[in-house]
Amino acid sequence: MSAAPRELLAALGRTIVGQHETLEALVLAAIADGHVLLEGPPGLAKTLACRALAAALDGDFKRIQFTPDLLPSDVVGTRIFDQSETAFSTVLGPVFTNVLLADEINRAPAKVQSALLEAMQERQVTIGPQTHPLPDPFVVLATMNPLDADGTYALPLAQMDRFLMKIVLDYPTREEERRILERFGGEDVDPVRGVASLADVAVWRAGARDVHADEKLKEYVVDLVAATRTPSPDAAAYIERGASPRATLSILRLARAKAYLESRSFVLPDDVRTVALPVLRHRVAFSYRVQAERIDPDTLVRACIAAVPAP
Amino acid sequence: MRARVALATCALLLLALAGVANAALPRLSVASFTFSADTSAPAQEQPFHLILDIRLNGHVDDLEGVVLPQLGTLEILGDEKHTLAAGANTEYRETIAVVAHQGGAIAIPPAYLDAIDARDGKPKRFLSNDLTLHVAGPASALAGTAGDSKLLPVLGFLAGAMLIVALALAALKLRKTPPDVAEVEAAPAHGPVVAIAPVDPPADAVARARAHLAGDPTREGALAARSVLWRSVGANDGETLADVVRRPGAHDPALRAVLRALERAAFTNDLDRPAAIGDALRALDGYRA
Repeated sequence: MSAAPRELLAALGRTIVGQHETLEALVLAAIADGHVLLEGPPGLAKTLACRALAAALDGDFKRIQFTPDLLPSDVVGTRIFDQSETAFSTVLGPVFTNVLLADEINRAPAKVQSALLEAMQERQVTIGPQTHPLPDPFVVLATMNPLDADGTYALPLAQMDRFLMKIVLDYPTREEERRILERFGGEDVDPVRGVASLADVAVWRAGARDVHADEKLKEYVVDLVAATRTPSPDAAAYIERGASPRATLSILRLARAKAYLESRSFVLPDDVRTVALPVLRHRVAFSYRVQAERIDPDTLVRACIAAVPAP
Repeated sequence: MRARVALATCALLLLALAGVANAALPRLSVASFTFSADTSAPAQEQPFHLILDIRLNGHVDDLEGVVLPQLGTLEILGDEKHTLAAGANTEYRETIAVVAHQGGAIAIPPAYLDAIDARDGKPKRFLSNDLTLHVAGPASALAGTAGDSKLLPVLGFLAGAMLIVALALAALKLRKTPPDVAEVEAAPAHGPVVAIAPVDPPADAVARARAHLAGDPTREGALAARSVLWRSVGANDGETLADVVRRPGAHDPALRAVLRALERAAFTNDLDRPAAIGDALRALDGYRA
């Protein structure tokens, strides 16, 4: 009898105060077999949330702090010469884990980002002559700090596309901050452990794939992505390029995962609309005017979503 | 001749006011705009509430410029406005406490909001639905007796004058930036922007929805039944269930259960659909009972 994904979400909620959208995104990423980009200022429990996910799943957790001098081998691993054996041996990098926190991913140069993003896509890493499969599940949670842009290397759109969704974190409410003081003001709080197993995650993924999506909803998903490619004349000045077909696939995959999380065997229009923003917001290319006129890009994506009537 | 000059002056004044108002129009993406009352049959001298709900896509700190309609013989006791962030959207609610001093039917025209539609960049007038209330008690002076018909032209003139004053006040309130030349286009009710007025009480709608579903127990029948119920609470077809259950007309838990059952019947897989339609019919029967 496998644990339900709701139990995992509840366990994360017992460790982290508030941040419901982030916690749900972590669980959905596990169900939908995808990776999450987390954007928010420091100190919002991003690391703790990732650690809590790994602990609740009884999986491995590793963290890489991305810096400008990081090398690809620091991420994926390398081959070293073993003098005692007089042969090369492979040392696997921190990417070989179940939950990987790539902290401040935009602080490392492009070749390091590429090394990680290739691993995310291929689910395997080639070091020297050997190819090593990554553990299953393998979830990358990458963070970006929107406040300090100096000395960063922006992720190209093609690489952002590898992330199933992007979650924007905000500060907790006053009430939540009081609860944070009560929960974490004293001794250290250990994350809840062993709520579900890695085998359970495999069961959830199979279950989510079987969730029914009506033809009208598939049309709705296609229309939503098309709306980013042919925005209204007003928004067209701000949107250079719409989302890719990978976004279409991602919306449906996440909508199925959301339905599964809510113990339904069918997708509802609400599931699609709820997941559309986190799937689309990092896949749309905006023009310079968005920055110049200090427009929140999310408002443009929301306008595209709102322009499409739900079935 | 004097009348023509006065008419032309009024027209010029209105055009000038429209231009000034447009200059300061906020840029909004209005998802829905509904006008409802917390009772469809208020009693004479019993205070009740009129509720304006506006749902905006994106975050808006404060919404100004919502113009209330003439409330006929209703006396306004108080007016309260709230703007709340609801996830990625903004919910604006204005609750107007009123009391009716006369019985009979009261037809209230739509409220409106002038704004630049963020979706296409055009200035538009977003209208709510209109509202008809039946106040229990003796017939109202506006209900139309033979003697009262003489008063109608006078009341019409007064209402017109009040409308001009209200427009002038609204324009002065909005005047913050230099005037622009674009003309405000009165937007007809269309798409997901303007809600459809609640046309019948939910009990009647439930009966019609049941008839639809029982007559056509398929996905299409379920969609048609769902549409009937949604319209009865002022929602459009382009909305989602989450939007619908937030409406004042859908706060009844029993009605929500019916809406959820119909949602399942409309979107579940073919194997589960007969059971889902059976459950939806039972939910409809349960609500009627």
